[in-house]
Amino acid sequence: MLAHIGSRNSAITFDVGTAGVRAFQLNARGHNLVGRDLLNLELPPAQPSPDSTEFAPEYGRIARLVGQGNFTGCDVGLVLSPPDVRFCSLKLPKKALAQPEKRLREALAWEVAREMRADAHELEVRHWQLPEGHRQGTNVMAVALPIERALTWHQLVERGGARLRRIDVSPCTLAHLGGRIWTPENNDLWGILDLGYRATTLTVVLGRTPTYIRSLTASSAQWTRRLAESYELSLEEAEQVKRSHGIRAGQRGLRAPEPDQALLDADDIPAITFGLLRERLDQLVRDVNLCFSYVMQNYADVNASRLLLTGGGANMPGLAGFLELQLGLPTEPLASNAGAESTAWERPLPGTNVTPESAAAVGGALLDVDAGSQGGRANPALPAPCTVNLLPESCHNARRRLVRRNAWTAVAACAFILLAGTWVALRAAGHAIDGLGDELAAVQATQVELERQLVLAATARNGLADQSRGLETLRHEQPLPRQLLAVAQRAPEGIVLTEILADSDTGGGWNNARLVAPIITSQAASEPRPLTVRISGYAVDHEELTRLIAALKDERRWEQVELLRAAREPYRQGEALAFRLECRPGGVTQ
Amino acid sequence: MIVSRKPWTIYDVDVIGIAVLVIVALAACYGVFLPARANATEYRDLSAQLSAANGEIEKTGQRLQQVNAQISTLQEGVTERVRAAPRPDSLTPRIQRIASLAREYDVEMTQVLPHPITTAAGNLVADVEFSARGHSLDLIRLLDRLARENPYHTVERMAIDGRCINEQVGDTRCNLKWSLRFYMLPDDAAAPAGGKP
Repeated sequence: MLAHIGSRNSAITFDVGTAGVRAFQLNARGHNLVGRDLLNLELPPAQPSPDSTEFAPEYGRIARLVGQGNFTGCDVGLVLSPPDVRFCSLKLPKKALAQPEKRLREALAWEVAREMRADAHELEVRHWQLPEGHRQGTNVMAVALPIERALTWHQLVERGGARLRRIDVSPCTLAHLGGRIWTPENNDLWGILDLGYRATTLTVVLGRTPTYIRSLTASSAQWTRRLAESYELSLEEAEQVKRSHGIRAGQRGLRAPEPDQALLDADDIPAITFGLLRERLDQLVRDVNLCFSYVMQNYADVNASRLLLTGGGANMPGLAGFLELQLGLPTEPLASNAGAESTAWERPLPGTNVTPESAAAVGGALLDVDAGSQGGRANPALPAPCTVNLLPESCHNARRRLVRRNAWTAVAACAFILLAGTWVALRAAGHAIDGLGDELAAVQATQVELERQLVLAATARNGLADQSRGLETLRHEQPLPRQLLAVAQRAPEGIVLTEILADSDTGGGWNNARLVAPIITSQAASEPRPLTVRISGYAVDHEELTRLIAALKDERRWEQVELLRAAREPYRQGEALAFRLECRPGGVTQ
Repeated sequence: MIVSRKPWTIYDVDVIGIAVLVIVALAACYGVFLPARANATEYRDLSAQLSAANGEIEKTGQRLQQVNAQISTLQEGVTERVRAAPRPDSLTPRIQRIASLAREYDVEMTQVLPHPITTAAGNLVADVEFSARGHSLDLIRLLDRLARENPYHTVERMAIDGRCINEQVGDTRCNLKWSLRFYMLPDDAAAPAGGKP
């Protein structure tokens, strides 16, 4: 799981040829490049017309191929070869090269359109700069692809649920892959002969830059047809003969067969095939020689170092040897296990069995990683690869628009969800507030009920208190007897009491002869009136009377003790001080 | 479709997306934010009112509890007092008790004059006049005893006349007159009905 962090995958790169479809994807983890999967789907050679240049991709088959492979992601890269793409070496002024990319592309489109006799607006043009020093002054290699074809590819891929990220050209991808065999010097001139089923393309590379690209007349299909006609075989059988036996230069002259020898031996088939194809092979050698010679004439101090063979035709046994012999150049198939005589790769691709027919797809995936289209080159120490991406700007714009549309859709969806969620929360809050209002109303009703109960309880309590107070009025304190007892105990010896009257009637005078029936009123019944006590008697002298008055005053209930009368009168056989006192409790006035 | 290329590349979907976002923002503002703010204010007010109402309920409940406790106490007291309060039918036994105590205290009753029972402030009141001969201190002790035995009466009037003492015949007794007012509950007075409101 952690191993996947920091790794990145190349686009699933397709090389769609007439004879087959190859798909490859590369996983880059730092500087380590590991092939995820390589699929090779052979197409029947008879199905497409070898002479036809009509573009008829079967993306359904490609999609099925992707589904079978151990690929990841939905980015797709495409590698196209001539005649789908056209190359033109042009001579542009340096000022033109200094223009912005868009202006430069427009200028190149006009130039290429003039060469191709096409409309400039119908071409998607890219370019790379050629090494300096070209004697004829060409300094730019332009590559053109009809926009309609690019859009068709884009729509096909989009229809399959994938995204077309790159459209590369096979000369660049093959040159980049060839750079993994060894590290060419800047003056190393080497070639890649892409022997396709219907076309052969020779790419002459100077250092790391494809400098000269030419479509040759030779093709694998021509060779197969020639063998089919000569051997009177079907195309499939002729193809099988070509692949299994290959070619081998035979002995010159005619020789008579031995008596015990068959007329035609299986070992003679390569020689016979060679003889049948000799004319075409010689033409191929001449074309390659011419191309190399042309480049070597235009660039000084370059050394032709090798020729690499790619495409299905490169698998024909004996071809590499023949070309090496004829050209005088080390020639080998661009494959990772081409045999004991082939060069060991400086930077092999672990887990990937590179074959000549899959080399373009592998190189495309490698170029996708090394070109830094996924955010940084895999190995920054190496020089920047020569590459182009022929995907039209409109496709990029459509892709960007799609990304933005998806982003806006996601944002709008999130906003709607957020809005809906907030609205639901708001509704819930509204319900909660309604509930709170109901609760408040219930609480207020409870409060009213409690207050009503409190009023009732207070009323009941007050009624009980009144009742209690009313009952309390039945009980009365009676201090008079205690007071009189106290006075009697503390009265001096020289005092004789003759009359004690206690009455509440203070205004009408005392009538000790009878007790008048009281007029009972509510007030009188509930609040007993304080009694005023009048005491009459005789005292020996004033001193005794004074002591009696002091004793009476000591009784706190009587606030006022008044001497009403004191006079000497005869008493028994002598004389005594007759007196009359009035004791008034508090609140009683005379 | 590209709407603008400089300074930034703007696609038609950007315009549509921004328009949708603006609409959503407006909808959020007028459909959610402003109502939410109003809701928050209303919620705060309702919460405060509810809290205050709960506090009031608690206080009222406590007051009600206190009042109920007071009612219980009062009810017990009133019941006890009603039970202990004298009734009209107890007047005669009380007068007999006074006469009995008078004999005990050497007070010679000469006349007992009860007055009719009247109603005052919902209670019954009966005045009874007593005439007797005896010593003044005995009368005072008698009255003190009566006061301690029964608080449901008052001394309305009292007269001790010692001028009639005839020492020559050895009679040192005074003329004693006093009037007592008895307080009673009507017969139909019952204990208060119990129970809380």
